[in-house]
Amino acid sequence: MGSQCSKLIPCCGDSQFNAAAVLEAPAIENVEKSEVDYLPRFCEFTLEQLKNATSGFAVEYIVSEQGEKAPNVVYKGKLENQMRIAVKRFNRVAWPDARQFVEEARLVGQLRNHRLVNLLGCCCQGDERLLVAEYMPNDTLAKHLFHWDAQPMKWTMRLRVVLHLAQALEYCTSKGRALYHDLNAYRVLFDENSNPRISTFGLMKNSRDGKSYSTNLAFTPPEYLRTGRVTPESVIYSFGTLLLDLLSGKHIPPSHALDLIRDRNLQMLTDSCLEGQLSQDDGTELVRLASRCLQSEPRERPNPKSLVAALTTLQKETEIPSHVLMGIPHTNSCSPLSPLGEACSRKDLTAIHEILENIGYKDDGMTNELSFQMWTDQMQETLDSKKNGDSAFKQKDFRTAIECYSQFIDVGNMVSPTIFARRSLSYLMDEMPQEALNDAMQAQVISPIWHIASYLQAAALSALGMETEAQSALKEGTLLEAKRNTAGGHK
Amino acid sequence: MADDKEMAASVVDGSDPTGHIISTTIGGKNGEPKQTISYMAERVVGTGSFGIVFQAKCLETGETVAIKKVLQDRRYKNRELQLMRVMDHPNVICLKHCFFSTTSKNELFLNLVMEYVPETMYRVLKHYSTANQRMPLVYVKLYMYQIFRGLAYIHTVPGVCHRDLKPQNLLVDPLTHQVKLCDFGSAKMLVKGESNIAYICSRFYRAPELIFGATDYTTSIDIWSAGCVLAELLLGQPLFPGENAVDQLVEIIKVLGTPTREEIRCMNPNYTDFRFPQIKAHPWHKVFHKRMPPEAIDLASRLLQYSPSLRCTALEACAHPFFDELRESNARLPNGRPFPPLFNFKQELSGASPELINKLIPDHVKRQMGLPFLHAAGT
Repeated sequence: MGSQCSKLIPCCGDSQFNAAAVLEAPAIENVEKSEVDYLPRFCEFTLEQLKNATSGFAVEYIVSEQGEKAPNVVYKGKLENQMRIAVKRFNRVAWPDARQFVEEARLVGQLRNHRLVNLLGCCCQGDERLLVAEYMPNDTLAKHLFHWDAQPMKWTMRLRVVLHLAQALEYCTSKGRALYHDLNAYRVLFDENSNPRISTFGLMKNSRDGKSYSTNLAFTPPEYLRTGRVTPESVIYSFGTLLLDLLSGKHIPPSHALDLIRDRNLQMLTDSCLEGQLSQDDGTELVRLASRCLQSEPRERPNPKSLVAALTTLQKETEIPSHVLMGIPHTNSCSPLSPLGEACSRKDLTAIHEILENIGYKDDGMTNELSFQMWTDQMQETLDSKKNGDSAFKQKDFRTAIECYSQFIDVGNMVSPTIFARRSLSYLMDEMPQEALNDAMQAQVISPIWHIASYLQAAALSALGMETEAQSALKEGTLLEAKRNTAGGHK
Repeated sequence: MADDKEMAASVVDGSDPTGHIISTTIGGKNGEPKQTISYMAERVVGTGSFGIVFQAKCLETGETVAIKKVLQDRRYKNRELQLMRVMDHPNVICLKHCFFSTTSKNELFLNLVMEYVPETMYRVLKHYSTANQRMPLVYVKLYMYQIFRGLAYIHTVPGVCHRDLKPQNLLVDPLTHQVKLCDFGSAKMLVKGESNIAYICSRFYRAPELIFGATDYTTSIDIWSAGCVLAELLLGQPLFPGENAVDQLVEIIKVLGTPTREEIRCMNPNYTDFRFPQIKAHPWHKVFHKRMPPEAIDLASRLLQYSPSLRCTALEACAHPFFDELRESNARLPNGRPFPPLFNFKQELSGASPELINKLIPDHVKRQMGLPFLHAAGT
């Protein structure tokens, strides 16, 4: 299993990983660009790799709704080559047959499209059944549509979302994967350019529980209620419910929405946030499409191709990039950096040193515990090596600092992310960037949401010449630091 | 219907009425002969902050009645009495008569004499859950239909919102299976533009806008409560068993998902800045058992909408396909006896569209009534 993975690492480790170049294209790309070539091929990962990528499936890395209580949890993570990923971990009973799981994943993994959250690989070791996909940093459609923070989604963007989804379905259909399970607003994610994509997780059928819909059955296709089976036409029905979501901003049972449409009660249906943006004709056209998708007779529903055609004519302001419409800062337009972020981006190691020195061990929460561990000799020795390390670090004698901190780490009876961070910086000073990166990663494993670990990774990656990855680590550090500050200031 | 203001004070009575005889006179106006009516109080059937309800027997006629006895503030009219006087519908409890009584402490009590219906929906539900059974679907349909018919009447004819719909306030006749709404102690005629108190309705059945403190709510709060009752009849237990006011909202969110921004705006625009935990809607196949008919789930979803204006009206609910079985010409109770009257609509249809009326009155009833057949266009 592991042997296939090794191919992946050189492949995305070098400069082939230039996602930005492809995704920089204007919002509405033409068809030729839709087959993505920047991604590695599907492969099997080892459990070890995915454990490392997610800090041992740390709770802090969960990105799916309902946290750890959900039956299938999705984690964010980062592969050794710094590529950011999403990992779906199925519960034990979902895929009893390992071979079936890998086969199914492999088929879905052959799809490559810029409208999909592409499946990069899977892992099937012991009881574990895991899927690995591209990481989408900009939340779900449900979030932007139903639970928005800064601004409601503009009508222009909503029209773009439905077109992109229709294109995704058209692509999947053309590749013989028309069956999408449980298409809903949580299955749609926004990439780094704030363009919507459909999760490929929904293309995997769940072999055991057979439940293709996770939400209220009043929202499921009528034929599914009769037969319990999903057909390509059922997917179009679900697409119709998504059209209603985008128009209304609310969860309206489709049968009820159809009654409102029949009674020409569009006012009641329409999201109040769209007031003034939505022309009568646009509204009528979208409602007409939705009613066609929601026909109770499956054969009367349109196919993805005709949906794409109908939605293409409705598009507006196609020259404005999605991230502008969404009001989401673009990856490359840096948000203001904190002093530490600033120091990392300037590769100003002296400044980083000063900041680390000032922070001390505040983020470890270990000073309090020391007093009663002092009793044993070994502990005393450990503390001495820390103390010597600290004083060397302060005097910028980084070689000695590395030596002392290594003693502390090797004894291993205490774990401190700060020690790793300090040794990481010391390695950087000593021009050993690979070692510095390892330590920064280690710090993150111990303390998954610690911004310093990400910042040091950025510095190390940059020293290794991996600029794209360094940028993404820097962005992550900035995000973590911002989150931490809003969560109640520094500890 | 109670006679006009003619309410003589009766004998002085104590707090426990059991065994007491209460006499009162009616008539005597416009040359009518005065008449004495005496009630023998038999047992207390309900108590609450309002006062008590007891079962009593009329000594002159032998008829069993329920008497609701409430403390009367001498400065005000009793709202419940005002409302009950104007209501007349087979699915709404009927006021027969009323009178005042006083105690030795010179407290004034209002006695509302109502028809007696022996069971409540609460007890019927309890009966099934003790036997570890589900209520047969035909009864769920029959009971819910009558609840909606009662609501359609009170909402449209006198324009009253019940504001405390729950199984305890739904009376069931165990022989005829007729259902009647009762306890109009919280009920009010809602006037558009006037605000109302939000602190009404029992916890499990409270519409989310009430939890959000809305004061401009509409009769759709009763529709929410009816949705909760529907779910409870189907499940055998309350759908949203909140432990306190805030937990009530959490219970709702667990099933329906976090309300969207737009839905919060529809419930109470002052709360749009509130942050709620984002919880995805619970899979309804986990809420309701497998063989639940899709129509039941569809109806429940239309009733349990966060947006009050999107909940269907009581009359629309009556026309829902879930109740089609009741409209079949050969439909009967499981014991072969006929259903209680279900289609004798009156003024409550006045605002309804021809299509809706066409759906509400089955063809076999139209034939009997000599009504013209209306062919719905298209559908």
